[in-house]
Amino acid sequence: MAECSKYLELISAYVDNELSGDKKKELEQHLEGCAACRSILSAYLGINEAAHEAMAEPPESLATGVMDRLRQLPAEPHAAVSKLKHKSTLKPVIISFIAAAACLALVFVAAPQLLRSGIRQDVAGSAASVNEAASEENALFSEKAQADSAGSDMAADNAGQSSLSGQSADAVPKLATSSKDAESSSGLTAAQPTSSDTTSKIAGSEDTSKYCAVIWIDGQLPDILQNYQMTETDDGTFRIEVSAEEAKTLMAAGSYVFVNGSEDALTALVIYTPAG
Amino acid sequence: MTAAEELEVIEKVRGGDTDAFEALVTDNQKKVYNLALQMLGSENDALDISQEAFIKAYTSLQGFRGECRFSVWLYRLTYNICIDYLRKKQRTPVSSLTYLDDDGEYADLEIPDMRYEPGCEAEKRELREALEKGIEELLPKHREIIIMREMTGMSYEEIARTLGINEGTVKSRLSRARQSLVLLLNSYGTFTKNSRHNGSKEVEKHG
Repeated sequence: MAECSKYLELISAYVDNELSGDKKKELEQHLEGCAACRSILSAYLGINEAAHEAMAEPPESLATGVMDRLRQLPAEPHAAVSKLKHKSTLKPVIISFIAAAACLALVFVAAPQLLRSGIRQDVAGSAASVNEAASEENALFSEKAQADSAGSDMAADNAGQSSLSGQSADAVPKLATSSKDAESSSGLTAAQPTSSDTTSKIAGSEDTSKYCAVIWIDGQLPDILQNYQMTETDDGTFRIEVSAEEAKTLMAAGSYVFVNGSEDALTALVIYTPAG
Repeated sequence: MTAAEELEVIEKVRGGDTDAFEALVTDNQKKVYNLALQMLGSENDALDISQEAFIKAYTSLQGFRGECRFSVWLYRLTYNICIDYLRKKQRTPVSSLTYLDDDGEYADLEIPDMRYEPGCEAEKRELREALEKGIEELLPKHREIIIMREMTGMSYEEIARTLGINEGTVKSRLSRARQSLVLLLNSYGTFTKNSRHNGSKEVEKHG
């Protein structure tokens, strides 16, 4: 029987469909004449079949549990920042400098009266605008961090990217370039086509001069907006008009991406994308 | 799901459609779950680890370059999470009997010269129970490789890459794992009970 030892491995590979050509023919010929090896093959096949029949059905909670947790994955700025340690941390720093510079430029463009009134007199006003610039910078920085990170929340990445590109229409060209660089380096290859679709939608349909701000909220709608009138759009998002005061509260929260619009407008627009 | 369908779903998910990922979960959950179940021995642990594997696959989707099937990538991930988990719990897979060392001799592998074919449900159940017992008693690396092959259906090449060994080693290790299993089942009397004489069906099946 020992001479059949060389066939053992062939029989095993045969069961796994990993045997072909000459070796396969050789084995098949041998099997026709060797009962012992046929018994071995039969035993291996029996094991294979039994193993498959023994496979358990996974509980329903497996799939539902996974999807529930995936839908809850937040687009948290601090969570995204902690992932940065795996990537180059230089880019976000550079971008935030550019963003800060651009924001300050935006503030001065949007609020020229600050220059006129002088810093001594309008301390409160300038402090408010500096805060605004800072929070805008944070919003942009955190959004960039999301784009650079492995990306746990794809929806937020998209909304974030498209809002930046939308901003480029508002005379902040440097920002647009740097965001494009970040986009290409973040490795989000498949995301590109989708984000440009959203970009054109937002740039095209949103009249930012009508509102004092446009704010993008993804996933969880904050309490203050729960009872508001919402209108659904074609792309599955909802538009909510809020007062300037409420908009300021939302922007100050630091969790949402936004662009500033017209100083004089009394309302702001919230674009809400529900989770999943 | 075909490879092309997998890629379609992945593109959707990368584009922001979290819900689309569910198709990948549904398609692969049975194999992922059973791989984990065999490796860890506990239904609760298998459930937890399976969920973790899917979630990790989702969050690392950017890193998936498509150099292999998504399902294979996922099984590899599941296996690695299981290994880490066992290491943390300092649990080594059970191996009480060393029926064969790594260079088992064929001379020992005497099984009745009959075709083994379990007929009715009772016989099939007996075989499954014997198999379960036998797998537990295998050497750790035999146990691991036979679980991986039988639960996921991965090719020798894919198993080789998962375990970090070469294909030749996969082939020989699987062969020895099977030899050991047959010896064990033989010792339980499994093969003597339910043997039938049959024609050369097996040769035709794989022809």
